[in-house]
Amino acid sequence: MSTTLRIESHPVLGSNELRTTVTITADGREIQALVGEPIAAALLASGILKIRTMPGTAAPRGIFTGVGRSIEELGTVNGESNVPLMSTPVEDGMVIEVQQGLGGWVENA
Amino acid sequence: MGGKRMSGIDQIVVVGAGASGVAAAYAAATSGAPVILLDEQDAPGGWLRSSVSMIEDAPEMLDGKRGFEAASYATVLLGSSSVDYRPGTVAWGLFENGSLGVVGPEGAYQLRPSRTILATGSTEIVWPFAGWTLPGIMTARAARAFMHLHFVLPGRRVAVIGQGNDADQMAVDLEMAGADEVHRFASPDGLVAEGEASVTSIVKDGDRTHVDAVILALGSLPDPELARHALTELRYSESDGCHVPIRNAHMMTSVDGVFVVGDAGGMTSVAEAVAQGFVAGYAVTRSERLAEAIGTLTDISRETAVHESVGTASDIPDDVHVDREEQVTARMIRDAIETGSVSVNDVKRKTRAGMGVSQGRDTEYVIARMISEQTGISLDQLVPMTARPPARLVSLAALAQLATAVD
Repeated sequence: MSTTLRIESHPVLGSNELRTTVTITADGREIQALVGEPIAAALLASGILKIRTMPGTAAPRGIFTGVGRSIEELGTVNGESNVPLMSTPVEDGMVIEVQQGLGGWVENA
Repeated sequence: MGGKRMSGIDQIVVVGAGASGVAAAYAAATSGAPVILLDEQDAPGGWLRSSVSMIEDAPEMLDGKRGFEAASYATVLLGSSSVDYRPGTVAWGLFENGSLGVVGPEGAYQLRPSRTILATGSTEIVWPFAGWTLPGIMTARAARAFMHLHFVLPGRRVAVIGQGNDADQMAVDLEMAGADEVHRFASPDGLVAEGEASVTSIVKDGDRTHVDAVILALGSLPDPELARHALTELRYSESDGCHVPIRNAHMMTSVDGVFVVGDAGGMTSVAEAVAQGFVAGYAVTRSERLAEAIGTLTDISRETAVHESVGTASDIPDDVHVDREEQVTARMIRDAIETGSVSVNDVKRKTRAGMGVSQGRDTEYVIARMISEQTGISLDQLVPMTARPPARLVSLAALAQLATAVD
Protein backbone atom coordinates (compact mmCIF):
# COMPACT_ATOMS: atom_id res chain seq x y z
CA MET A 1 0.00 0.00 0.00
CA SER A 2 1.15 3.51 -0.75
CA THR A 3 2.47 5.25 2.34
CA THR A 4 0.44 8.40 1.78
CA LEU A 5 -3.13 9.14 0.87
CA ARG A 6 -2.24 12.58 -0.44
CA ILE A 7 -3.61 13.50 -3.86
CA GLU A 8 -0.59 14.87 -5.75
CA SER A 9 -2.61 16.11 -8.69
CA HIS A 10 -6.38 16.14 -9.17
CA PRO A 11 -7.71 16.19 -12.76
CA VAL A 12 -10.16 19.00 -12.00
CA LEU A 13 -8.71 20.78 -8.96
CA GLY A 14 -4.99 20.66 -9.75
CA SER A 15 -2.77 20.43 -6.70
CA ASN A 16 -2.74 21.60 -3.11
CA GLU A 17 -1.73 25.23 -2.61
CA LEU A 18 -0.27 24.39 0.80
CA ARG A 19 3.44 23.61 0.44
CA THR A 20 5.29 24.10 3.72
CA THR A 21 5.98 20.73 5.28
CA VAL A 22 6.50 20.43 9.03
CA THR A 23 6.81 17.54 11.45
CA ILE A 24 4.16 16.84 14.02
CA THR A 25 3.84 13.97 16.46
CA ALA A 26 0.72 11.87 16.26
CA ASP A 27 -0.01 8.89 18.46
CA GLY A 28 3.66 8.64 19.41
CA ARG A 29 5.22 8.83 15.95
CA GLU A 30 6.50 11.69 13.83
CA ILE A 31 4.58 12.44 10.64
CA GLN A 32 4.84 15.02 7.90
CA ALA A 33 2.07 17.61 7.70
CA LEU A 34 1.35 20.79 5.76
CA VAL A 35 1.13 24.08 7.62
CA GLY A 36 -2.46 25.30 7.50
CA GLU A 37 -4.20 22.03 6.70
CA PRO A 38 -6.66 20.69 9.29
CA ILE A 39 -5.02 18.33 11.77
CA ALA A 40 -7.51 15.62 10.74
CA ALA A 41 -6.32 15.83 7.11
CA ALA A 42 -2.67 15.47 8.16
CA LEU A 43 -3.53 12.43 10.28
CA LEU A 44 -5.57 10.81 7.49
CA ALA A 45 -2.78 11.43 4.97
CA SER A 46 -0.52 9.32 7.21
CA GLY A 47 -3.16 6.63 7.66
CA ILE A 48 -4.11 7.64 11.21
CA LEU A 49 -7.88 7.34 11.48
CA LYS A 50 -8.49 6.85 15.20
CA ILE A 51 -8.60 10.22 16.95
CA ARG A 52 -10.39 9.42 20.20
CA THR A 53 -12.14 6.82 22.31
CA MET A 54 -15.63 7.12 23.72
CA PRO A 55 -16.38 7.59 27.41
CA GLY A 56 -17.60 4.40 29.07
CA THR A 57 -17.02 1.98 26.20
CA ALA A 58 -13.50 3.07 25.10
CA ALA A 59 -14.67 2.42 21.52
CA PRO A 60 -12.38 4.01 18.89
CA ARG A 61 -13.76 6.88 16.80
CA GLY A 62 -12.58 8.95 13.85
CA ILE A 63 -13.93 11.72 11.66
CA PHE A 64 -17.52 10.83 10.71
CA THR A 65 -19.45 13.84 9.38
CA GLY A 66 -16.56 16.29 9.60
CA VAL A 67 -18.74 19.38 9.86
CA GLY A 68 -17.94 20.48 13.40
CA ARG A 69 -21.15 19.28 15.01
CA SER A 70 -20.02 16.13 16.71
CA ILE A 71 -17.84 15.05 19.63
CA GLU A 72 -16.36 12.43 17.32
CA GLU A 73 -13.96 14.92 15.76
CA LEU A 74 -12.58 16.22 19.06
CA GLY A 75 -9.04 15.15 19.90
CA THR A 76 -6.17 16.06 22.23
CA VAL A 77 -3.62 18.59 20.92
CA ASN A 78 -0.56 19.72 22.91
CA GLY A 79 -2.24 18.29 26.01
CA GLU A 80 -5.48 20.21 25.51
CA SER A 81 -8.59 18.04 25.23
CA ASN A 82 -11.61 18.45 22.95
CA VAL A 83 -9.91 20.31 20.12
CA PRO A 84 -11.90 20.12 16.85
CA LEU A 85 -9.44 18.38 14.52
CA MET A 86 -11.36 19.12 11.31
CA SER A 87 -11.15 22.88 11.81
CA THR A 88 -7.88 23.38 13.68
CA PRO A 89 -4.90 24.03 11.35
CA VAL A 90 -1.57 22.25 11.69
CA GLU A 91 1.33 24.10 13.30
CA ASP A 92 4.96 23.00 13.48
CA GLY A 93 5.76 20.67 16.36
CA MET A 94 2.19 19.91 17.42
CA VAL A 95 1.69 16.82 19.53
CA ILE A 96 -1.56 14.97 18.80
CA GLU A 97 -2.72 12.22 21.12
CA VAL A 98 -5.66 9.85 20.87
CA GLN A 99 -8.13 11.43 23.28
CA GLN A 100 -9.23 9.03 25.99
CA GLY A 101 -12.93 9.49 26.66
CA LEU A 102 -13.77 12.99 27.82
CA GLY A 103 -10.07 13.90 28.07
CA GLY A 104 -8.30 15.57 30.98
CA TRP A 105 -8.00 19.05 32.40
CA VAL A 106 -5.15 21.45 31.79
CA GLU A 107 -4.43 23.84 34.67
CA ASN A 108 -4.13 27.44 33.56
CA ALA A 109 -0.65 28.82 34.22
CA MET B 1 -17.74 43.59 21.67
CA GLY B 2 -18.82 47.14 20.90
CA GLY B 3 -21.27 47.67 18.09
CA LYS B 4 -22.25 44.05 17.72
CA ARG B 5 -25.70 44.32 19.21
CA MET B 6 -27.80 45.51 16.34
CA SER B 7 -31.22 46.98 16.85
CA GLY B 8 -31.66 48.90 13.59
CA ILE B 9 -35.21 48.55 12.37
CA ASP B 10 -34.25 47.56 8.86
CA GLN B 11 -31.45 45.14 9.71
CA ILE B 12 -31.59 41.90 7.68
CA VAL B 13 -29.65 38.85 8.82
CA VAL B 14 -29.10 35.85 6.55
CA VAL B 15 -27.86 32.61 8.13
CA GLY B 16 -25.88 30.35 5.81
CA ALA B 17 -23.84 31.28 2.73
CA GLY B 18 -24.69 28.49 0.33
CA ALA B 19 -26.32 29.23 -3.02
CA SER B 20 -29.63 30.39 -1.56
CA GLY B 21 -28.16 32.40 1.32
CA VAL B 22 -25.79 34.30 -0.95
CA ALA B 23 -28.63 34.99 -3.41
CA ALA B 24 -30.88 36.24 -0.59
CA ALA B 25 -28.18 38.47 0.92
CA TYR B 26 -27.23 39.86 -2.48
CA ALA B 27 -30.86 40.58 -3.45
CA ALA B 28 -31.61 42.30 -0.15
CA ALA B 29 -28.40 44.35 -0.28
CA THR B 30 -28.95 45.49 -3.86
CA SER B 31 -32.41 46.66 -2.74
CA GLY B 32 -30.70 48.98 -0.28
CA ALA B 33 -31.04 47.14 3.04
CA PRO B 34 -28.18 46.66 5.52
CA VAL B 35 -27.46 42.91 5.39
CA ILE B 36 -25.35 40.71 7.64
CA LEU B 37 -24.53 37.25 6.24
CA LEU B 38 -23.43 34.68 8.83
CA ASP B 39 -21.42 31.71 7.54
CA GLU B 40 -20.09 28.90 9.72
CA GLN B 41 -17.63 28.05 6.96
CA ASP B 42 -14.50 30.05 6.05
CA ALA B 43 -15.70 30.97 2.56
CA PRO B 44 -19.04 31.25 0.72
CA GLY B 45 -20.63 28.43 -1.27
CA GLY B 46 -21.84 25.90 1.30
CA TRP B 47 -21.57 22.34 0.01
CA LEU B 48 -20.69 23.65 -3.46
CA ARG B 49 -17.20 24.48 -2.14
CA SER B 50 -16.27 20.82 -1.97
CA SER B 51 -18.15 19.71 -5.09
CA VAL B 52 -16.39 19.07 -8.40
CA SER B 53 -19.51 18.01 -10.28
CA MET B 54 -21.19 20.13 -12.93
CA ILE B 55 -24.26 22.02 -11.73
CA GLU B 56 -27.37 20.78 -13.53
CA ASP B 57 -30.20 23.11 -14.55
CA ALA B 58 -28.04 26.03 -13.49
CA PRO B 59 -29.27 29.60 -13.59
CA GLU B 60 -27.57 31.64 -16.31
CA MET B 61 -24.62 32.98 -14.31
CA LEU B 62 -23.71 29.48 -13.10
CA ASP B 63 -24.18 27.73 -16.44
CA GLY B 64 -21.55 25.08 -17.13
CA LYS B 65 -19.81 25.69 -13.81
CA ARG B 66 -18.61 23.07 -11.37
CA GLY B 67 -19.61 23.36 -7.73
CA PHE B 68 -16.35 24.89 -6.48
CA GLU B 69 -16.36 27.36 -9.38
CA ALA B 70 -19.87 28.48 -8.41
CA ALA B 71 -18.59 28.94 -4.85
CA SER B 72 -15.80 31.21 -6.16
CA TYR B 73 -18.41 33.16 -8.09
CA ALA B 74 -20.40 33.62 -4.86
CA THR B 75 -17.27 35.09 -3.26
CA VAL B 76 -16.87 37.59 -6.07
CA LEU B 77 -20.56 38.49 -6.00
CA LEU B 78 -20.49 39.17 -2.25
CA GLY B 79 -17.30 41.19 -2.59
CA SER B 80 -18.99 43.45 -5.12
CA SER B 81 -21.98 44.05 -2.81
CA SER B 82 -22.54 45.91 0.46
CA VAL B 83 -23.24 42.64 2.33
CA ASP B 84 -21.48 42.43 5.71
CA TYR B 85 -20.15 38.88 5.25
CA ARG B 86 -18.99 37.17 8.45
CA PRO B 87 -17.14 33.88 7.86
CA GLY B 88 -16.40 31.39 10.64
CA THR B 89 -19.51 32.61 12.43
CA VAL B 90 -22.11 30.28 13.89
CA ALA B 91 -25.75 31.14 14.66
CA TRP B 92 -26.57 28.66 17.41
CA GLY B 93 -30.04 29.77 18.48
CA LEU B 94 -33.08 31.70 17.28
CA PHE B 95 -35.21 32.89 20.17
CA GLU B 96 -38.86 33.82 20.65
CA ASN B 97 -38.09 37.57 20.67
CA GLY B 98 -36.42 37.19 17.25
CA SER B 99 -32.86 37.51 18.51
CA LEU B 100 -30.06 35.29 17.24
CA GLY B 101 -27.29 33.85 19.41
CA VAL B 102 -24.04 34.15 17.47
CA VAL B 103 -20.42 33.08 18.02
CA GLY B 104 -17.73 34.32 15.66
CA PRO B 105 -14.00 35.05 15.60
CA GLU B 106 -14.67 38.22 17.66
CA GLY B 107 -16.50 36.26 20.35
CA ALA B 108 -20.14 35.80 21.31
CA TYR B 109 -22.86 38.31 20.56
CA GLN B 110 -26.55 38.75 19.87
CA LEU B 111 -28.24 40.07 16.76
CA ARG B 112 -31.75 41.45 16.76
CA PRO B 113 -32.71 41.73 13.09
CA SER B 114 -36.06 42.95 11.82
CA ARG B 115 -36.07 40.10 9.29
CA THR B 116 -34.16 36.81 9.39
CA ILE B 117 -33.58 34.61 6.35
CA LEU B 118 -32.53 31.09 7.26
CA ALA B 119 -30.51 29.37 4.54
CA THR B 120 -29.14 26.65 6.78
CA GLY B 121 -29.05 23.94 4.13
CA SER B 122 -29.21 20.25 4.70
CA THR B 123 -27.73 17.55 6.87
CA GLU B 124 -26.62 14.13 5.67
CA ILE B 125 -28.73 11.03 6.16
CA VAL B 126 -26.91 8.33 8.10
CA TRP B 127 -28.03 4.79 8.89
CA PRO B 128 -26.66 2.38 11.50
CA PHE B 129 -25.17 -1.04 10.70
CA ALA B 130 -22.87 -3.43 12.54
CA GLY B 131 -19.47 -1.81 13.09
CA TRP B 132 -20.52 1.58 11.67
CA THR B 133 -18.78 3.57 14.41
CA LEU B 134 -15.28 2.35 13.44
CA PRO B 135 -12.77 5.02 12.36
CA GLY B 136 -12.45 5.09 8.56
CA ILE B 137 -16.22 5.07 8.11
CA MET B 138 -17.41 8.56 7.21
CA THR B 139 -20.10 10.44 5.33
CA ALA B 140 -19.86 11.66 1.74
CA ARG B 141 -19.38 15.28 2.84
CA ALA B 142 -16.48 14.40 5.10
CA ALA B 143 -14.91 12.42 2.25
CA ARG B 144 -15.42 15.32 -0.19
CA ALA B 145 -13.92 17.80 2.26
CA PHE B 146 -10.82 15.59 2.60
CA MET B 147 -10.47 15.04 -1.16
CA HIS B 148 -11.50 18.37 -2.62
CA LEU B 149 -10.56 20.92 0.05
CA HIS B 150 -7.52 19.20 1.55
CA PHE B 151 -6.21 16.86 -1.21
CA VAL B 152 -6.30 13.69 0.88
CA LEU B 153 -8.04 10.45 -0.14
CA PRO B 154 -10.25 8.84 2.52
CA GLY B 155 -8.64 5.51 1.55
CA ARG B 156 -7.22 3.48 -1.34
CA ARG B 157 -9.79 0.65 -1.26
CA VAL B 158 -13.11 2.28 -0.57
CA ALA B 159 -16.64 0.97 -0.06
CA VAL B 160 -19.47 3.35 -1.01
CA ILE B 161 -22.88 2.71 0.54
CA GLY B 162 -25.98 4.09 -1.19
CA GLN B 163 -27.74 3.88 -4.51
CA GLY B 164 -28.85 7.44 -5.34
CA ASN B 165 -27.14 10.36 -7.06
CA ASP B 166 -25.01 11.04 -4.00
CA ALA B 167 -23.45 7.55 -4.13
CA ASP B 168 -23.02 7.61 -7.91
CA GLN B 169 -21.22 10.94 -7.67
CA MET B 170 -19.07 9.70 -4.79
CA ALA B 171 -17.85 6.75 -6.90
CA VAL B 172 -16.91 9.20 -9.67
CA ASP B 173 -15.23 11.56 -7.17
CA LEU B 174 -13.14 8.73 -5.69
CA GLU B 175 -11.96 7.48 -9.06
CA MET B 176 -11.10 11.02 -10.17
CA ALA B 177 -9.05 11.51 -7.00
CA GLY B 178 -7.12 8.32 -7.66
CA ALA B 179 -8.59 5.65 -5.35
CA ASP B 180 -7.44 2.14 -6.33
CA GLU B 181 -10.72 0.31 -5.75
CA VAL B 182 -14.33 1.44 -5.31
CA HIS B 183 -16.82 -1.15 -4.08
CA ARG B 184 -20.53 -0.28 -4.22
CA PHE B 185 -23.16 -1.42 -1.72
CA ALA B 186 -26.76 -0.37 -2.43
CA SER B 187 -27.97 -0.37 1.17
CA PRO B 188 -26.59 -0.49 4.71
CA ASP B 189 -29.01 -3.36 5.49
CA GLY B 190 -27.11 -6.48 6.55
CA LEU B 191 -23.63 -4.95 6.25
CA VAL B 192 -20.97 -5.71 8.87
CA ALA B 193 -17.87 -3.52 9.15
CA GLU B 194 -14.86 -5.15 10.81
CA GLY B 195 -11.61 -3.82 12.26
CA GLU B 196 -9.79 -2.95 15.49
CA ALA B 197 -8.46 0.63 15.48
CA SER B 198 -10.10 1.32 12.11
CA VAL B 199 -12.18 -0.42 9.45
CA THR B 200 -10.35 -3.16 7.53
CA SER B 201 -13.16 -5.06 5.83
CA ILE B 202 -16.86 -5.06 5.12
CA VAL B 203 -18.96 -8.22 4.99
CA LYS B 204 -22.18 -8.70 3.04
CA ASP B 205 -23.96 -12.09 2.89
CA GLY B 206 -20.75 -13.83 4.02
CA ASP B 207 -18.55 -12.18 1.36
CA ARG B 208 -15.67 -10.21 2.85
CA THR B 209 -14.22 -7.19 0.99
CA HIS B 210 -10.97 -5.65 2.28
CA VAL B 211 -11.26 -1.86 2.51
CA ASP B 212 -9.51 1.00 4.29
CA ALA B 213 -12.47 3.41 4.11
CA VAL B 214 -16.25 3.23 3.95
CA ILE B 215 -18.34 6.17 2.72
CA LEU B 216 -22.01 6.59 3.59
CA ALA B 217 -23.53 8.43 0.61
CA LEU B 218 -27.21 8.21 1.44
CA GLY B 219 -28.37 11.69 0.45
CA SER B 220 -29.43 14.63 2.59
CA LEU B 221 -32.30 15.98 4.66
CA PRO B 222 -33.48 19.59 5.04
CA ASP B 223 -31.96 21.14 8.18
CA PRO B 224 -34.29 23.95 9.30
CA GLU B 225 -33.13 23.68 12.90
CA LEU B 226 -33.10 27.41 13.68
CA ALA B 227 -36.61 27.72 12.23
CA ARG B 228 -37.66 24.96 14.58
CA HIS B 229 -36.17 26.90 17.51
CA ALA B 230 -38.54 29.71 16.55
CA LEU B 231 -41.44 27.20 16.61
CA THR B 232 -42.45 27.72 13.01
CA GLU B 233 -45.32 25.46 11.93
CA LEU B 234 -44.17 22.32 10.14
CA ARG B 235 -45.64 19.96 7.57
CA TYR B 236 -44.53 16.46 6.57
CA SER B 237 -42.85 16.45 3.17
CA GLU B 238 -43.25 13.14 1.29
CA SER B 239 -40.40 13.98 -1.08
CA ASP B 240 -37.99 14.82 1.76
CA GLY B 241 -39.06 12.10 4.20
CA CYS B 242 -39.22 14.53 7.12
CA HIS B 243 -40.97 17.64 8.43
CA VAL B 244 -40.21 21.04 6.89
CA PRO B 245 -41.41 24.57 7.70
CA ILE B 246 -44.66 25.75 6.09
CA ARG B 247 -43.99 28.83 3.92
CA ASN B 248 -45.93 31.34 1.89
CA ALA B 249 -45.08 32.53 -1.63
CA HIS B 250 -42.51 34.96 -0.14
CA MET B 251 -40.68 32.08 1.61
CA MET B 252 -41.88 33.37 5.00
CA THR B 253 -42.71 30.84 7.71
CA SER B 254 -45.65 31.00 10.13
CA VAL B 255 -43.47 33.21 12.37
CA ASP B 256 -43.57 36.83 11.22
CA GLY B 257 -40.21 37.98 9.86
CA VAL B 258 -38.61 34.50 9.73
CA PHE B 259 -37.92 33.24 6.21
CA VAL B 260 -36.49 29.91 5.04
CA VAL B 261 -34.80 29.39 1.66
CA GLY B 262 -32.86 26.62 -0.10
CA ASP B 263 -32.46 23.06 1.15
CA ALA B 264 -33.50 24.01 4.69
CA GLY B 265 -37.10 24.29 3.46
CA GLY B 266 -37.05 21.05 1.42
CA MET B 267 -34.33 19.69 -0.86
CA THR B 268 -33.81 21.90 -3.91
CA SER B 269 -31.76 22.08 -7.09
CA VAL B 270 -29.14 24.86 -7.18
CA ALA B 271 -31.37 26.82 -9.56
CA GLU B 272 -34.32 26.56 -7.20
CA ALA B 273 -32.20 27.45 -4.18
CA VAL B 274 -30.96 30.58 -5.91
CA ALA B 275 -34.48 31.52 -7.07
CA GLN B 276 -35.86 31.10 -3.53
CA GLY B 277 -33.03 33.26 -2.21
CA PHE B 278 -33.92 36.07 -4.60
CA VAL B 279 -37.60 35.84 -3.65
CA ALA B 280 -36.85 36.16 0.07
CA GLY B 281 -34.21 38.86 -0.48
CA TYR B 282 -36.67 40.98 -2.46
CA ALA B 283 -39.57 40.17 -0.12
CA VAL B 284 -37.78 41.40 3.01
CA THR B 285 -36.95 44.67 1.27
CA ARG B 286 -40.36 44.98 -0.46
CA SER B 287 -38.53 45.35 -3.76
CA GLU B 288 -40.40 45.98 -6.98
CA ARG B 289 -38.47 43.03 -8.41
CA LEU B 290 -40.31 40.58 -6.12
CA ALA B 291 -43.07 39.64 -8.58
CA GLU B 292 -40.52 38.80 -11.28
CA ALA B 293 -38.49 36.69 -8.82
CA ILE B 294 -41.60 34.75 -7.81
CA GLY B 295 -42.30 34.16 -11.52
CA THR B 296 -38.78 32.78 -12.03
CA LEU B 297 -39.18 30.44 -9.05
CA THR B 298 -42.59 29.23 -10.24
CA ASP B 299 -41.14 28.33 -13.65
CA ILE B 300 -38.57 25.95 -12.14
CA SER B 301 -39.79 22.38 -12.23
CA ARG B 302 -39.67 20.41 -9.00
CA GLU B 303 -38.89 16.74 -8.58
CA THR B 304 -41.65 15.22 -6.52
CA ALA B 305 -40.55 11.59 -6.10
CA VAL B 306 -41.54 10.17 -2.71
CA HIS B 307 -38.53 9.74 -0.42
CA GLU B 308 -37.72 6.10 0.27
CA SER B 309 -36.02 5.17 3.51
CA VAL B 310 -32.33 4.40 2.99
CA GLY B 311 -32.47 1.34 5.24
CA THR B 312 -34.81 -1.11 6.95
CA ALA B 313 -35.31 -0.26 10.62
CA SER B 314 -36.03 -3.84 11.69
CA ASP B 315 -32.70 -4.96 10.16
CA ILE B 316 -30.60 -2.82 12.53
CA PRO B 317 -28.91 -5.32 14.89
CA ASP B 318 -29.93 -5.00 18.57
CA ASP B 319 -26.43 -4.21 19.86
CA VAL B 320 -25.62 -1.46 17.32
CA HIS B 321 -25.38 2.11 18.64
CA VAL B 322 -28.10 4.06 16.81
CA ASP B 323 -27.04 7.24 18.60
CA ARG B 324 -23.28 7.28 18.14
CA GLU B 325 -22.60 10.02 20.70
CA GLU B 326 -24.84 8.88 23.54
CA GLN B 327 -24.12 5.22 22.62
CA VAL B 328 -27.78 4.18 22.71
CA THR B 329 -28.38 0.75 21.16
CA ALA B 330 -31.20 -0.30 18.83
CA ARG B 331 -32.38 -2.68 21.60
CA MET B 332 -32.77 0.19 24.09
CA ILE B 333 -34.82 2.14 21.56
CA ARG B 334 -36.97 -0.91 20.68
CA ASP B 335 -37.65 -1.49 24.39
CA ALA B 336 -38.69 2.15 24.80
CA ILE B 337 -41.08 1.87 21.85
CA GLU B 338 -42.49 -1.41 23.21
CA THR B 339 -43.24 0.23 26.53
CA GLY B 340 -45.17 3.10 25.02
CA SER B 341 -42.83 5.66 23.44
CA VAL B 342 -44.60 6.74 20.26
CA SER B 343 -42.62 9.83 19.33
CA VAL B 344 -38.96 10.74 18.87
CA ASN B 345 -39.28 13.02 21.92
CA ASP B 346 -40.57 10.10 24.05
CA VAL B 347 -37.70 7.86 22.95
CA LYS B 348 -35.23 10.66 23.63
CA ARG B 349 -36.50 11.17 27.17
CA LYS B 350 -36.36 7.44 27.92
CA THR B 351 -33.05 6.53 26.32
CA ARG B 352 -31.03 9.76 25.87
CA ALA B 353 -30.94 9.05 22.10
CA GLY B 354 -30.66 12.47 20.44
CA MET B 355 -29.30 14.25 23.52
CA GLY B 356 -25.69 14.37 22.32
CA VAL B 357 -23.84 17.39 21.01
CA SER B 358 -25.26 16.89 17.51
CA GLN B 359 -28.75 17.38 19.03
CA GLY B 360 -30.39 14.41 17.39
CA ARG B 361 -30.19 15.60 13.80
CA ASP B 362 -28.65 12.30 12.70
CA THR B 363 -30.75 10.06 14.88
CA GLU B 364 -34.18 11.60 14.39
CA TYR B 365 -34.45 10.17 10.86
CA VAL B 366 -33.60 6.64 12.06
CA ILE B 367 -35.65 6.68 15.27
CA ALA B 368 -38.74 7.98 13.43
CA ARG B 369 -38.50 4.98 11.09
CA MET B 370 -37.94 2.56 13.98
CA ILE B 371 -41.12 3.86 15.67
CA SER B 372 -43.08 3.79 12.42
CA GLU B 373 -42.07 0.21 11.53
CA GLN B 374 -42.65 -1.08 15.07
CA THR B 375 -45.97 0.65 15.81
CA GLY B 376 -47.51 1.07 12.36
CA ILE B 377 -47.89 4.83 12.88
CA SER B 378 -47.10 6.48 9.55
CA LEU B 379 -44.15 8.89 9.40
CA ASP B 380 -46.36 11.89 8.63
CA GLN B 381 -48.35 11.26 11.82
CA LEU B 382 -45.28 11.19 14.10
CA VAL B 383 -44.71 14.29 16.20
CA PRO B 384 -41.38 15.81 15.06
CA MET B 385 -38.60 16.10 17.60
CA THR B 386 -38.40 19.36 19.55
CA ALA B 387 -35.32 21.33 18.51
CA ARG B 388 -33.52 23.28 21.21
CA PRO B 389 -30.48 25.54 21.21
CA PRO B 390 -27.58 25.29 20.78
CA ALA B 391 -27.67 24.25 17.13
CA ARG B 392 -23.87 24.02 17.10
CA LEU B 393 -21.05 23.33 19.54
CA VAL B 394 -20.75 26.45 21.72
CA SER B 395 -18.20 26.77 24.49
CA LEU B 396 -19.30 27.75 28.00
CA ALA B 397 -16.74 30.56 27.82
CA ALA B 398 -18.59 32.02 24.81
CA LEU B 399 -21.93 31.81 26.62
CA ALA B 400 -20.46 33.43 29.72
CA GLN B 401 -19.17 36.27 27.56
CA LEU B 402 -22.66 36.68 26.08
CA ALA B 403 -24.26 36.82 29.53
CA THR B 404 -21.92 39.67 30.44
CA ALA B 405 -22.70 41.50 27.20
CA VAL B 406 -26.47 41.21 27.77
CA ASP B 407 -26.22 42.53 31.34
